[in-house]
Amino acid sequence: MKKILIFGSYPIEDAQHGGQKRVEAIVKTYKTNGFLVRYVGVYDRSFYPKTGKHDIALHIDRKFNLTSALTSDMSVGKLIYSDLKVRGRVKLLINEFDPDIIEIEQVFPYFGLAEVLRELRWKKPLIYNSQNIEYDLKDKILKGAGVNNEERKAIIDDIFSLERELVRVSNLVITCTKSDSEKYQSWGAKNIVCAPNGTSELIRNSKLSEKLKNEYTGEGINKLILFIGSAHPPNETGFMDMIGSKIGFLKPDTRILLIGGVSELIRQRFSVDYRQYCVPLRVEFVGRVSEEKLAAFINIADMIILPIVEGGGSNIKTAEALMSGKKIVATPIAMRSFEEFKQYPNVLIAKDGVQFRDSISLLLRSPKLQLSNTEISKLDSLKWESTLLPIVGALKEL
Amino acid sequence: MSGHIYIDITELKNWDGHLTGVQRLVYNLAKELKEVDDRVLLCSYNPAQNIIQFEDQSYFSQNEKPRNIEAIETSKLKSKLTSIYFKIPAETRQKIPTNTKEAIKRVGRKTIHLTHKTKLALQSKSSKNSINIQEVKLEPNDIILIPGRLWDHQEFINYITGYKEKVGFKLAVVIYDLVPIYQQHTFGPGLTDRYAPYIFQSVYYADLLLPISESTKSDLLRFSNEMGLKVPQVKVIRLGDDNPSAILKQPEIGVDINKGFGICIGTIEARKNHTLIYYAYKLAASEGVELAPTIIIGKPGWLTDNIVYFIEHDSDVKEKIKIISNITDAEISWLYKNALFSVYPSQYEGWGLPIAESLVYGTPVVASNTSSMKEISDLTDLISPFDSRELMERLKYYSNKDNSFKKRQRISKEYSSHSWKSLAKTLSRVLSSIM
Repeated sequence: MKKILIFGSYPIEDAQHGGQKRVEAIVKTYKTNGFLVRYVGVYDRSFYPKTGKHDIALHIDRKFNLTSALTSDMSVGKLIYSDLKVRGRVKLLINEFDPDIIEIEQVFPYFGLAEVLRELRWKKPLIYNSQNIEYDLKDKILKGAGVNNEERKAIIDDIFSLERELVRVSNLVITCTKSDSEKYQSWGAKNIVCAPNGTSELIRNSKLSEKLKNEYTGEGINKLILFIGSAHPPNETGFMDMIGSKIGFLKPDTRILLIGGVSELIRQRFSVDYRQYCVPLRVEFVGRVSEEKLAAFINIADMIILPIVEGGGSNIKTAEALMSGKKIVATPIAMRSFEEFKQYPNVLIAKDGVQFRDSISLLLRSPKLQLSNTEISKLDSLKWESTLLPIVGALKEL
Repeated sequence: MSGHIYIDITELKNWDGHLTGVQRLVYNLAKELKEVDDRVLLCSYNPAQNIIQFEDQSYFSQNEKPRNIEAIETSKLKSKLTSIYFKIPAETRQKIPTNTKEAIKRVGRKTIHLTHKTKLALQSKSSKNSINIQEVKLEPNDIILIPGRLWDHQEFINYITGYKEKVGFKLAVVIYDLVPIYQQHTFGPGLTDRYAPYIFQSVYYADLLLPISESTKSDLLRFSNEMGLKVPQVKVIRLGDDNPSAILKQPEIGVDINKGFGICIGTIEARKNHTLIYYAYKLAASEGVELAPTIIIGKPGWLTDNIVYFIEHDSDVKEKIKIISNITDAEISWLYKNALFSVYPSQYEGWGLPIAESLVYGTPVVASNTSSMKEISDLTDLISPFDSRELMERLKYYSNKDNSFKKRQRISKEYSSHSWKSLAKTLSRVLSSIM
């Protein structure tokens, strides 16, 4: 039985954000296909409460500022080599497990792992599982946060050269989108496979769904729009660009529910002025919820919005929204790698804020849309079992 | 079939004493509209029964505004609580930490609120059996005009918006200003949280918005844009200023009136910027410039302890700036008639009634060059609300009796007052256009 050791920059216990969900699905797929898998997350424990069995959750004593928070994945990656204790643990893990393949999730663990692998004279296959063109995404996040140009350039140069190196040395590069594959090809990748993001079956809990629905109806709220997102800064940017405080187009019986870490980010954006008192007239800041409650919210929602304006890769939330069969208003970026679903009757694509808000109004007014049998069966291709299948084939050939 | 125009006078039922800005507008507007348009009916919100009820249609036929016992008591309680606070020596007030002051303010508000609620509950008990209360049933072709402080009556907002959703009558709302939204710092906490949603609901539901100045209209459009609200018809209305009291009475002001004096009318609050007057007099003292004293007529409000203390205790200015309150309309008329100048250095306003009033009396007026204050008349002497030297120079100029007299003559010749009746006629036409 082939053994795969995966390094990532977060735990996959109680997976919340897209990256965690993807890796969780990958680990499951590998196991289902007969591989022995061990996952090691190396991360700052202040960001994640749950830890996996083999994770290295670090307590990092550092000066906390915006840039350090936005680049914690980088600094933790570097600690894999620079911190002797961590380096020792990582080496021990590799030696004890003695994997046939090492897979690196996103580029960040490679900041330290590159040196560790050189010291261990690693000659066996290496896989780079990319979720985005990382240097590009980080650049946008830092720009959006107002990090000064000099500091930003230094950080981005660092990621860019490391990502290029990892792409060149990897025996297999996995991407989420075709455009990412093309980019890595131009960098000299030897072997690329594209495995878009997918989704699991929606959990149905009619009791909880009914309870929630009754609560809203009791308050005179009859239409629910969901925006589900983690505290990943592009989620906040997308909402602010497409809707922001311009909520006056919504009727009083309609609410946008902000679910997940993005909720707090957006609430804070409005907390500085009078908008904190007006936005709640149409927006509810729900915050993080359990998977069960999230499923119940999706069940009772009339619409799911995907206001994604930046970031690479493909969006897991898009797969989840499509699978739900609900009405969807999305940006073109949110539909990247889900192009074949753009024409679905329950989907409207909007390029800017005005179009986005108009599309929400239009779609809310339209009657419930029924998908054809062909359309429903095509949704199966969104399940992780289907989307990750190309990786399994490529792995077997390594 | 033509509908009715209902005017909500809830504001007058909940107010007593001297009519200040909002109440004066409600009183004059409703009174004149009732006279010029026979479709007009008076109504008010009855919170005990959660209905809009007919008011006595002869409400304005009496010379004096009818007095409402509950309102008098609530108003008295507010006055009593404020006066208790100001009985604390200024030196001690200085030492009270800001958060403790806010806590005192909250307790005061809560006491007033609970007293009001208790009275309503008692009123409800008796009014449920009352045969005099007649509910207004609005029809789709009716208009209801709300000129009062709707932001203080959340239950009324809920009622009127829900009713409009069901029936679809037309709604017109007078908008005074967006100061609690765009100049939030000039208030203590506790107003923006209800004022901002009130403006949002007004823009969302109203068929006609009536801002009282171009500046307020501009703020309203900015707000609507920021909140993504579709703006209904907007018509700027100019408040009337044509009913000064004919009776004059000289008040005790604590200065030698023969030497001349200036006045500053309005509640003492941070936004009204009395600090600038203080600094202008300090500057004059340091440079040996002689200015006529200024009488500030207004009650001290919140966030003004420091400036009141300075004025009362600074030996450079304490004989030059006097603070008085509890003045009657006749006394205000006397002060306007006899002052060398009036001064209004507010940082921001929705209109600026004391400026127009000054001009009606012919009194030279020095006011800020911001927001609505510059719209009122070309006869206003505009200054920066942040420049004490500019203010000192203007006050110096008008402290000279000849200069003041010349300007008085010019104002009397050139300023035409704006009548409430003319506003009522304009409004009657505008309301017809949305029926």
